[in-house]
Amino acid sequence: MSYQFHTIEEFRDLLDSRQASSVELTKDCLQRIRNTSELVNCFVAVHEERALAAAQRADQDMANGTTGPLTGIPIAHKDVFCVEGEATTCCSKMLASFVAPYNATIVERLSQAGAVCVGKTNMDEFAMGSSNETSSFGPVKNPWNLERVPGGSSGGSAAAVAAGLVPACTGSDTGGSIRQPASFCGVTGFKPSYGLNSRFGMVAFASSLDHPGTLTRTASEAEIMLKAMSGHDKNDSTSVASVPSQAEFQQPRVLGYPARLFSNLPSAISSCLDTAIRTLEESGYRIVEIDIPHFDVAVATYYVISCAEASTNLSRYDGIRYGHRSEHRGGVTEMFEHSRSEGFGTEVKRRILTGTFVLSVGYFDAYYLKAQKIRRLIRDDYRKAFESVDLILSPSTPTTAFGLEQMDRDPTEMYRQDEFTVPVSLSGLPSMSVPCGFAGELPVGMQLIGPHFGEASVIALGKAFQSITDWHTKRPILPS
Amino acid sequence: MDKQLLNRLSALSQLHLTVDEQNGIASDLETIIRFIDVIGNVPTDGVEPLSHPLDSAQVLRSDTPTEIKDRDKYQELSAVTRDGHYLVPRVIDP
Amino acid sequence: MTYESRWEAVIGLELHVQLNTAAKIFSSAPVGVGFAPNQAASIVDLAFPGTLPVLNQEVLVKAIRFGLAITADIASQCRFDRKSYFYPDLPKGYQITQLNEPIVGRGTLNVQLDDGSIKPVDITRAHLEEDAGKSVHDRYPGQTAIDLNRAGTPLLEIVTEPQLHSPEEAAACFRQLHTLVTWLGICDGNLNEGSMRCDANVSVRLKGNSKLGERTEIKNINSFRFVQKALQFEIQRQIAALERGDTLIQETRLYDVARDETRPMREKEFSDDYRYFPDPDLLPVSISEDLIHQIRETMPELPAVRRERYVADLLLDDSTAARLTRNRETSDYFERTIDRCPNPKLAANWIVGVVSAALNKDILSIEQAPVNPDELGEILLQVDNGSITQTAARQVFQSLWSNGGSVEEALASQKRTHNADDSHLRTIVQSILDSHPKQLEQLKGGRKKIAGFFVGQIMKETGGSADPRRVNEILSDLLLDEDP
Ligand SMILES: [Mg+2]
Ligand SMILES: [Zn+2]
Repeated sequence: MSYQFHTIEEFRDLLDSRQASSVELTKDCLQRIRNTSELVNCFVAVHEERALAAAQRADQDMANGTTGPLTGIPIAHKDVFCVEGEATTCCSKMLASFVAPYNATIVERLSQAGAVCVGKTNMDEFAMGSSNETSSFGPVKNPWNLERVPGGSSGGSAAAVAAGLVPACTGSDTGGSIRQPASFCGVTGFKPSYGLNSRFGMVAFASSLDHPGTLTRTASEAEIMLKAMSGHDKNDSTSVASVPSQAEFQQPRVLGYPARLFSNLPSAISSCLDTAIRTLEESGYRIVEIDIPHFDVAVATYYVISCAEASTNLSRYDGIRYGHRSEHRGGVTEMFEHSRSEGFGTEVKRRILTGTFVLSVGYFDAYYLKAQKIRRLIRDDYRKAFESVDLILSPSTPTTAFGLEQMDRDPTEMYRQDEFTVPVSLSGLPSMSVPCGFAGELPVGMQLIGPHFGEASVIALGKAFQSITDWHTKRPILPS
Repeated sequence: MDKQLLNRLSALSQLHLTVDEQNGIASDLETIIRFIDVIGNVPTDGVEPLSHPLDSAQVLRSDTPTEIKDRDKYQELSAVTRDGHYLVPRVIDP
Repeated sequence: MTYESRWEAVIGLELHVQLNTAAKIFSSAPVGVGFAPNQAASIVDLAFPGTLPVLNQEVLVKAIRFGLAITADIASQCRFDRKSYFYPDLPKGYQITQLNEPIVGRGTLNVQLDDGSIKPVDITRAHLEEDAGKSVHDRYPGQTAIDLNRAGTPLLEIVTEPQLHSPEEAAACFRQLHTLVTWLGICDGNLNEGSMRCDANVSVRLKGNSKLGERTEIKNINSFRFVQKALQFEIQRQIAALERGDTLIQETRLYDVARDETRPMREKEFSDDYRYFPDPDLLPVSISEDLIHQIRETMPELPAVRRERYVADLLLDDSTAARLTRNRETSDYFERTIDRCPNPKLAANWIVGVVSAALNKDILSIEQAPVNPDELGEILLQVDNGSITQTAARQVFQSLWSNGGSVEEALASQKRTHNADDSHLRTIVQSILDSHPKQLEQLKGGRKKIAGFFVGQIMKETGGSADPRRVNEILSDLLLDEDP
């Protein structure tokens, strides 16, 4: 019996009805990972013994009647999260030998909830990229077409769920790193509001933009994961103590669509969006035309801010306390410079240098400070929009999955991949990418964006959409 | 992106770039700077910079120390340690 | 030097004060010395990937205490910034500090100068930041050893306006800040362990010139005396250079204690570009009126206020008042002494005299004094109401200091020996009267002057130890006895 493509709820039923044990499910899952690892390259580490031990504990808990919605369910963590005693590499040569001495809060919480972590998923180096090609473990292949990228940086997590290996993976989204690969791989990617999920133990890329989140097949699984993960963490100053009380939750009714912004969309994508919007309209949602006036400069703004933060977040990699240390002989400056140059890949170096540039004397005002001002304008654009709508709809990405090595000439071409996701990131808003059709054989995603701490609305619309469409149930066929 | 600016940025970033890398990265950075330059066209007079999407105040920690028990475990992650110290090539002039 | 009088030095100080919290500013690792290397460094202090800073609320309280003490503006919101540079003992590659929104704004510090006069010095600001670790250069050949125990220790950086005009004033200002932060209980004041480190900015200009000269910064001086000596050297060096017609450059210098000179620090190229920006791991911190109010309620009476009160109300002289308020422990000792014995002058003189000498002799601080202020007060009360003499009081004090025991017992035993001494003295007086019958006759005959002769003889006999007043008393007693 194979449990490929099962959802969390289906696993739950199997476990609760004693048709399968967690150990059985976990073994099956480990076997699947072994079978597909070469093909898709979505896992960078498999925690076999640890997973089986956790599964055994889960079975014990279930026998004792102490279970939660995730008890005994296999999941995987993006390699950006620290798992105590396991390699946490961020798919960088810099951290190739780093064994985390502690658990990320989210790892801890999911483990407390009984989830069984089977391993770590591939990603772009330090989460910098939109194709999963900057990984030191090599690129991930898109399960829908192995010649294409899965998107990034959470490419391994998206591909693992798309290939039906695990029902859910954690991911991190700084500018679109959950939503873009979810869209490319035809799965549900959810990035909750900034401040809801703890960043403690998630290796930092850009602190004011990094959002932990999930990749699952469905919105309802995203909800289950969120419940287990979220909540205040005393180890993260940016984790909110309590979610500001919203007015009584109401089903979203009015959806905004900033059509102006998507006029250049390839027709294969826009027709999927149009159909999805029409479907929603037919089910009673009101669609309202809105605008986000500063949308066009969001990507540039995002790159200024994210690189600035990244350039300092990555200063800790100096070869002293952990991480790659160069064999190069010389003084301490040579040690720093060579360790960092050997440990970081090209894209990471580009972003460090860009960040250093925008913060340095003579450029700070024109770039960093300017970008911060525009960040406010963008956030205010959304605030204004949410005065008249409950949620905002948008395509998730400007293209479908592109070919491997297709985008390695101009780095900014890759940056444009994030143009529909970064304005949302800059504003810290909850956002979900759900499958909404196919362009040829490749999945297309639609983004559902909510006001700050409006996750309940986003999830509700995601569930509603998935109850009237079946795009999320489509499965790629992998050569065996 | 002239040599001098690139040198300054790589010195500040403590990155040693090979000659090959220098040329590639210099032109990449030029492209990137051109790409981000569009923000210069946005009128922002009177706009307060926003450094964080969160408006809320942070929760502080109480002044309660906890003992560090795992030094040796932490130091296993380091390339060079001795008697509990981390070692680096001699820093000539402090 | 003859030309010195033409020049004026302009000095500003920056003090790094380690706050004496139990835990670090952004982690729960313990603060302090005496740990094995890196045994007080947590994953946050070691800047492990994924770790984040969380602010210790107590550092706010301590910073605000300082701010209130210098009547400064306390920010209603403060913020933390990253200051980037690479150094092996700076684990994150940046220091978390406060650039544009410090917690403490402008205030004033009243500095007591050596001549007793008070010079108000404006404090520009005081901000919170984290300390770096320590680099040990001389332990292993060819290598520098890094100990990150100090990394993350909370610092309050206090910046003064350039309003000091001599090395002596600078040292006095440093000393005043030392008195204040230890008085407030926000720093242990242990200079040897680097609890307070001083940077001095100094320039010279021709007197009457309002434009500041090119300044140098002398880094990391950790004693009052060295601040004075470093500045003496540096001012002479700058004057000599300008007199020669040289131009000075703005630079950072180090004071070499052994050679008593300053010399330029070698700095890396571009290292002055710190790329400050708001730390995105930390949100702005709001400081409520309520919190400030609560802290204000717990503020101790400050040294300057006490000093003034001692002079105005207790009628102490300036220098005694200054000595009593140089540190809080001495002042509190005095306060408790006068709670028991309401003669402030007597108590003050004893504390700056007898007590202070005894402490110096045994190398003790006043908190370690074997005679506590209640005991001292009790002894002095006996002096004040005339029950015992100062000499006797000293004996009681000394016995209590060296042998311990209760003050009641020490006083009682003093009275017993006093009485024993008294009967001994009577015997001596009687024998001298007996051995000088002629003079005794004269005395009885009314020649009062002859009394002086007897007193002299008795003093001689007792080696001067007898209390002359008592001798006179005994003498008249015995004369009365002789009369039928
Ligand atoms: Mg300074
Ligand atoms: Zn400082």
